[in-house]
Amino acid sequence: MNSVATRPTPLATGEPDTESPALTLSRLSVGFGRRSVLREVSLSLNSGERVALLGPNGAGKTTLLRTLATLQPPLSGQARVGGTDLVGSKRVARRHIGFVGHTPHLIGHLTARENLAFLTSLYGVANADSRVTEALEVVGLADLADRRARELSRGQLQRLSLAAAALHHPAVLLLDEPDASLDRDGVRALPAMLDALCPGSAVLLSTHDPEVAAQVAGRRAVVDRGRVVQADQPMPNPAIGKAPSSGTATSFFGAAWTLLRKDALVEWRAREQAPALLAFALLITVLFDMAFVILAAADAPAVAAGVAWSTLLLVASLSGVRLFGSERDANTLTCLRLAPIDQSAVFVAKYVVLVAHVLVVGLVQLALLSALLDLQLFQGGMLATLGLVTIALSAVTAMQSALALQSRAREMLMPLLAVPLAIPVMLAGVGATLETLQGAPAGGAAPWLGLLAVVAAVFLALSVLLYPHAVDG
Amino acid sequence: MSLASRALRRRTVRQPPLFGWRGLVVYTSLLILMGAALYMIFIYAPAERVQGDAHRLLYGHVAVAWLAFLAFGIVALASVMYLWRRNPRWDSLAVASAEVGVLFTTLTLASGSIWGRHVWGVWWTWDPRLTTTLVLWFIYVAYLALRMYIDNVDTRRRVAAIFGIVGVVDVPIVWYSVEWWRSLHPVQSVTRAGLTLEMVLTLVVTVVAFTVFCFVLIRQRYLLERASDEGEGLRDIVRNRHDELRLAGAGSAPEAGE
Repeated sequence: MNSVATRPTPLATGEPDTESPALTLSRLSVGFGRRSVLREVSLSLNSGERVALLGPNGAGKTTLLRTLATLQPPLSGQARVGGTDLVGSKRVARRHIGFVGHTPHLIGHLTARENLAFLTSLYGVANADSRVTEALEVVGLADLADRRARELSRGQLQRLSLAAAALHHPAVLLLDEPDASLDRDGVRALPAMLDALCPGSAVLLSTHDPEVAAQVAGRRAVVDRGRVVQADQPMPNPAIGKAPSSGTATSFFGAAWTLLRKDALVEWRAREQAPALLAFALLITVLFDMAFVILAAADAPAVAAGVAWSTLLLVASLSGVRLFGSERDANTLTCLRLAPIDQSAVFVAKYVVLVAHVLVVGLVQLALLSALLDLQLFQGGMLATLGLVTIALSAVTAMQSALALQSRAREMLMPLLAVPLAIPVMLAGVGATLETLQGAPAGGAAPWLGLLAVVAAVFLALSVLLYPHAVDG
Repeated sequence: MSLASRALRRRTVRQPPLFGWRGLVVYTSLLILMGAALYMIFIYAPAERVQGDAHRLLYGHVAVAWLAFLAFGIVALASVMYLWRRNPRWDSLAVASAEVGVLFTTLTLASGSIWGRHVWGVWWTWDPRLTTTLVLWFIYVAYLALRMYIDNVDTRRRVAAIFGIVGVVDVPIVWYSVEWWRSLHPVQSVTRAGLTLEMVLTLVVTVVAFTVFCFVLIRQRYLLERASDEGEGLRDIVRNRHDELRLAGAGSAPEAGE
């Protein structure tokens, strides 16, 4: 139907195919189970075209946009972005898609500029600094660039979301009710912002307001009860500026490093986890110490071995709830799912965060137990055990955190999932500690340390393999 | 053509199986096998020299223990197949097997504990077998709890499949860690007397009878799960049809222009 070849350019890998329309939907059906929300929707957008989706509440506009943003898999039919299949090559397609959802997926503890800089790293945008500055100016946030996202107003966040979605100059920009929280000037400036941010991108936006649709879009498509019931014909020759130039692929470790730096910065600013975890560990250690030493007069090395690793298990399980949960609460997990990166990189970054938390708590706890039980715990064998227990325990817990995240009651499920699986880690930790503290011949702890290494390796391998299934269909 | 769209077209509900002549054969043979097993356990097999009659508990115990582990193996296999093929039937098999597995693991722990009280004098000891079975029970329960707490059906299947795989991988690790543990802290060893031919025969028949029983249970639970999915699907189809009729009734808007 749309055979308008716009501007033939040589195809580089990952470049959008400019021969075909920017976005093609043919008989796309989307639903949950067998309940269809969208039925055989067909639509086509050329590069540079702007199409407004109109329709009553519950018509399926948001579902359509979320499906095109690769957040919801279709039941049947096909969707292609610049010639790339949305389902088959999700990761490549994500480089050509920008999405502004109902709620902003920005990181509250980062400034406007840092938010955009973070995304340029994930999307591999060239000339990142100048692009970020340019985007901030276009959306009118240049003077708020160093204010944290959580301090911005709803309308300012909407502007920042627009800049974030268009930053990598996607072939297709999807906007879910961009006018919802913009002021009148903002809505009026929207076409100019789009022209400046991403000339040549196809834009599909949903709105309730026919006036906004007329202002921003050249075409309209009306959606009702999951069908496109009315659509204008595509313009024969849409005005096109510079062609979209989606970024380059980001490597696995590059992405993991970017995510890790982001998490470290957020933790430093929010101080969400470390103080609470330390206080919790202190409390549990004292509690166990009272139970075993004061009441039962148990033998000191045995108490140290039992208390140290059970406390660490509780800490890892508690920290694990927040590990992915904090992203989910702040709605930033969507931002990570939209990025054209190997999703396992997200897992690796989160795993390193958990290891850091558990290790810090573990060191503090060894000091505490040394004092309480009058033992010398800062010795080679104990530190090696602490290191390996931390690595293995975090591997078990991080995976369960990603699973519990998908459930309704993750706080309750987390220990239920993590503790039984962590039993070998507990036994090996206690075994190695007893060998070390009871002065067994050198190397007595080695089999236990080996077991810990095996557990860590097995769970890490499984997690990296299975994590994309957990979050990304 | 995706699986989901094929599933959409297949709207017939199959006849409930195991009610016709096949059911008659299966249930009759199950009844006969169970009767034979009970007869052999309580009458045919001789009393054991050391344990006396307490050992009769062990025939059933061995059978349910082996099936508990087998059921978990089926959960893992079905989970791998589900993640690979994304066919909901594999998920139904996984959940059926997990529920039957919990039942058999509970029976294993209960029968073992009662036997242990009579022969070892304790309800519980941290023997590798016991401990591994207990951990297995916890993992099964966590698997079922996880399923309960996820509303979206696709997410539930995916996440449960991952936990099913991770859980079964953990079982041999638990086994080795507990066994090493015991080798460092030896506990009182069990006296094992030689088995007579009658005892071996009794054990074989009991294991076969319980295995058939286990598969019948898994199959029935599987069919129940399929029927429940099918019912859910029919409800969705009715809702879809309702929407279409309302859309047609609205009438004024023309069909899609593309």
